[in-house]
Amino acid sequence: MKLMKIIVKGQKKAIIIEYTVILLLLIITSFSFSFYLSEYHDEWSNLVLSSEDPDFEVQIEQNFSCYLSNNALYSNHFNNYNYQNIVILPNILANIKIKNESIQVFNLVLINSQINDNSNYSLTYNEVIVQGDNLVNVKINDVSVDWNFPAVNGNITTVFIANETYFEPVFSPTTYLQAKQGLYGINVIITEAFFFKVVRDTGSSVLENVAAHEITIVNSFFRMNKTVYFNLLPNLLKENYGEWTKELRGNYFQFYDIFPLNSEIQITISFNDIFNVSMTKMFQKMNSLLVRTLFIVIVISSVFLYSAFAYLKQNQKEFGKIMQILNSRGGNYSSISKRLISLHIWNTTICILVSLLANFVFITIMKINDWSYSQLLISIVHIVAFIPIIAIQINSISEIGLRPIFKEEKKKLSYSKSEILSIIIQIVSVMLGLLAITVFWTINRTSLQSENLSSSSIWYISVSFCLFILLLFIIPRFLMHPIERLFRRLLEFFTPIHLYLTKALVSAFKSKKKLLTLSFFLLFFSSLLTSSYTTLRNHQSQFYESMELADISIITEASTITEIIPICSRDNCIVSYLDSTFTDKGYINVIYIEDPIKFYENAYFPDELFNEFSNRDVFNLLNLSSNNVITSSSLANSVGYKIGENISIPRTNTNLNVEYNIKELIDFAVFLPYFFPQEFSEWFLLKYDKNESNSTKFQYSIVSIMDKNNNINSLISYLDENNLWYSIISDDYYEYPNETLVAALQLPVLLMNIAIPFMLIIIFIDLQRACNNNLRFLKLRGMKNSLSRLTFTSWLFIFIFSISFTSLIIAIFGLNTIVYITNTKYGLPVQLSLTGLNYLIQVVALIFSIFVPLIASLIPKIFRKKPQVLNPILEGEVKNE
Amino acid sequence: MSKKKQKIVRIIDLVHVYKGKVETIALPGINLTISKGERVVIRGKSGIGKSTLLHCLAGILKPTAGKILVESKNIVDFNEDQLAEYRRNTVGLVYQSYNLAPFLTVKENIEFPMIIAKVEKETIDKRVEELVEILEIERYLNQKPSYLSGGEQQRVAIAVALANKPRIVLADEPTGNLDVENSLMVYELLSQMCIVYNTTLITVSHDPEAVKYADREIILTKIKSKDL
Ligand SMILES: Nc1ncnc2c1ncn2[C@@H]1O[C@H](COP(=O)(O)OP(=O)(O)OP(=O)(O)O)[C@@H](O)[C@H]1O
Ligand SMILES: [Mg+2]
Repeated sequence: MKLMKIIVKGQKKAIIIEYTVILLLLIITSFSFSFYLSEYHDEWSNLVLSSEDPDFEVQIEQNFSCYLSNNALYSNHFNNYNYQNIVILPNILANIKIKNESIQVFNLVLINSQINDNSNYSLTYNEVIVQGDNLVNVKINDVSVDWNFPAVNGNITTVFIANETYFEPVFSPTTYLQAKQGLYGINVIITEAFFFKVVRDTGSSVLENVAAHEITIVNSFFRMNKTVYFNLLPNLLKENYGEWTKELRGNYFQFYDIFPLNSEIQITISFNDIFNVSMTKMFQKMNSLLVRTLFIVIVISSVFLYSAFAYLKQNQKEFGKIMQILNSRGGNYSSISKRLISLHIWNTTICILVSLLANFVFITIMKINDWSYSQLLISIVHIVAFIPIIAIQINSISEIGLRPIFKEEKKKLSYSKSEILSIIIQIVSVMLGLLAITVFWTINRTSLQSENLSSSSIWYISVSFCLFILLLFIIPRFLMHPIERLFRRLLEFFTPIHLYLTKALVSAFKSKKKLLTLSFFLLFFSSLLTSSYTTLRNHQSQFYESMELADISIITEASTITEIIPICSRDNCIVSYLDSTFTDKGYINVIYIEDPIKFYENAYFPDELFNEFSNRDVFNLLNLSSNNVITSSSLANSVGYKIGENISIPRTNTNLNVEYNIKELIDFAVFLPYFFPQEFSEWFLLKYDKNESNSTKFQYSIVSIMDKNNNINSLISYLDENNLWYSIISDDYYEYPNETLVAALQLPVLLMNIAIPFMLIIIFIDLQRACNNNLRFLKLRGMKNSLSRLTFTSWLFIFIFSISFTSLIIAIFGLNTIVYITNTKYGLPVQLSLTGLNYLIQVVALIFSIFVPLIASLIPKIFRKKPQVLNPILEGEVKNE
Repeated sequence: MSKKKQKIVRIIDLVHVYKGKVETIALPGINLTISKGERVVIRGKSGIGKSTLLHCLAGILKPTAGKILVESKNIVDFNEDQLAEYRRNTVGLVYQSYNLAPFLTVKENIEFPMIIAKVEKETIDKRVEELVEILEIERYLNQKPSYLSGGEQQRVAIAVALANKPRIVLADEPTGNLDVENSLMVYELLSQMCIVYNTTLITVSHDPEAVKYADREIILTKIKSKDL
């Protein structure tokens, strides 16, 4: 205990400084991220929680008799969705008189219980609300509403007259209604329940007599319950939204397919744009904020750490002397170092606890403590920060330089006990961190949006990441040994004193261990940054090139395709058809391409994108037979299929019977999401067989036009003029998702490639000095100067060659893991791409290593430590005397 | 100072000027002759140029002017390779400190001059054994010099200097930081070894005791500098 007291006393200053540094580091890092998080949280909750717009909107135009016969089934079918329904009935069904004046132009509006219950004024049976622009002076008694048919039990009482703004919150989603309101001015609102009670009482035939062929418009608004997704990643919400809409859409088609009668029905579907426009905008904003946050955190913490620990090191050196005395007076070496290490670990633990506490207070103040991501991120920040902290502590402990001072040369291990202990601590902490992250990831695969990753690939990623970390931290330590052996072997051919020369150089290099590690990491980071940059640049250009596949895609009703094709001239467009269909495994989109080979010719395919077939193979297969269905394995998996499996696709034949065609699934590229819109992301490609064309009826056709300028305007104006239904599904110019990253990387890569060579040359000159200092002893005993110069240059060359290419390989290995992870998310896989730029720093380093002596002599004398170099041999002597 | 003896070193008008911010005339024109097998001690005030003289003699400093004839060859005119050859075979150096390679063991330090001179392995082993025995440093053969005491290090340095049977041994304050007892032992050893191997010994020292182990004492003074 006495020993501990002495250590604490001696280390007091160091501990306080260390404590402050670690705490500030942790707090700066985690607070910056918390700020980022709270910003993110605000944006996100604004987007998700406060959105008034319905997420899925269907407008069905049909005649009144259809509506009457379908309605009960319709409400049964969509019961589970809790939708809001606004129906515009033919106004011929009712009469309205205001101040005894009969009104001809008005909307007869039915609202379902969803709207009724949510409005401030809930209607009960036989009650009506009259709403309009100019009803300010009208009193309830002035208004009377009657059925235009003999109603058995349906006297209508006007209960409320609303000015235009009253129902706005209720009707706001209905752009349709607002438009009509402007036209007709007055809405007569009754409940569905009331209306259908009247229908039941009087008999539907009575109503049909009045308005059988009048148009009835049903607007259904579906809202997804997004609050349950609040704690999920945005992409997952987007994906779930996709699933949800697909299911709904499927339900609609299923519903209306049951009634072939209803072929007159026109269905319009629209989606909430928060899942495209707003979300993309938010991501862009948040990404650039993240890059800025990261930059600030890295810069601040590294500058801060560096200066603080320079001081600490000094302090530790002094303490080292005290310890040495203590040691020589009988203090046990191992007990001192054990206590020192436990002291520092204790210190770190306190810091982490304090920082965690501070953070939880902070996120509570920022009101984001209920958000699971804030807790997750802060925990990760602490785990990640733990590693450099441990490294720094070990560094400062080793600075104390406790060494047993026995006279006899001990069989000297290359590592002292505390160093080995620290390496073990480092490795174990990295392993534990990784294990925790992997387990967490595997368990929370759904909420982290990585279902398509199998557990094995998660473990693959973790293990290779772990391997990468190990390689990165272990290799520099053990690189010296093989280089030394290789060098000695080489030297053996030239000189008998190879052993002595190697020893001189190795010992000089060992004395500059920190510089060597630094240069290794400099080379590593510049390799990593540069190769990430070139890879991303390559991916970026592939992304934009594959987007040029088709500037714009228009989805129309399949029947209109014959009218459209002449307008956009067949050569310039790709025609495909889309069927949303139920299979034995569920709901899928099947896209039929008319002319796959033409499609191929117009398409840009990045190399090697196809897993099993070349791109031409795939389209040849498609072109030759219609027995294959093409998809990508991940897409197939998400619907429950496997590649190679048979898929039975139902088609309705001319007799309106369902037939099943059996096709084999083959694997295919992943580029198509750029061509087909996100909404159809679970697609299967089939060749469109022209012979079949008469017997099949598709739901939609997709016209993709290569050249926006030429045809699109005439096509759209044609569609508009003829009142043909169409929807533009992919005219968005998608920005490359990593655009900000690429932009942010540009400058660092440039700076690194300029700055690092300078740093390297300074390091090399220092190494040269250390080596000369050692070689001097050999020269004193008659070694030739030329030999000394030659061996130094070749040693440095071999050394730099080894570390620069090892660092390059490790960097590429690490990047590969990152690429593997990103590839599970992107449609267009990232491919590692190395250009001349990637080898630049290595080549420069090698050139420098050859010319160090020359460069050193060129550097102005002022920068040199000694004013006069008399003779290379004396160099060390002069310094020492 | 018997004239019968063969002259091994002749220094003629040796001048050395250090050129820095301030020019320092370290050697103002020295003339000196040393016979073969002679043991000479050079003394003089601090800063008078003793070390400079020795460096010139060892061929690690090129004098500004003058000649140094060693065995009738002017080493001032030697090129790098010839100088290396000269240091390898003709002279052995003992300095006050820093003259053992810290990265080599004691044994390697002693072996090195012979290995570079391409002496046969057996001869090397024999010679190491011999030197080690005389100098009583067997115990430390496989240790690094930094683990040895000053006196021990100096004894090793003597072994290194003598390893190649040089014809001249140059010692620059070989006992600088040793106590009296150890200093005497070093001088004793040095001079005895030189007698045994018939080596010329040129020692620089402030220590008056050193004279006892020398045949001749040379005192450098600054008088001549005025003439320049
Ligand atoms: N590298 C150098 N550059 C410039 N001047 C030097 C250098 N080395 C020595 N001198 C100067 O040359 C003169 C002679 O130095 P030298 O080292 O030969 O003296 P010394 O006689 O060995 O002294 P001491 O007895 O203190 O060792 C001194 O005045 C010294 O300042
Ligand atoms: Mg001196």
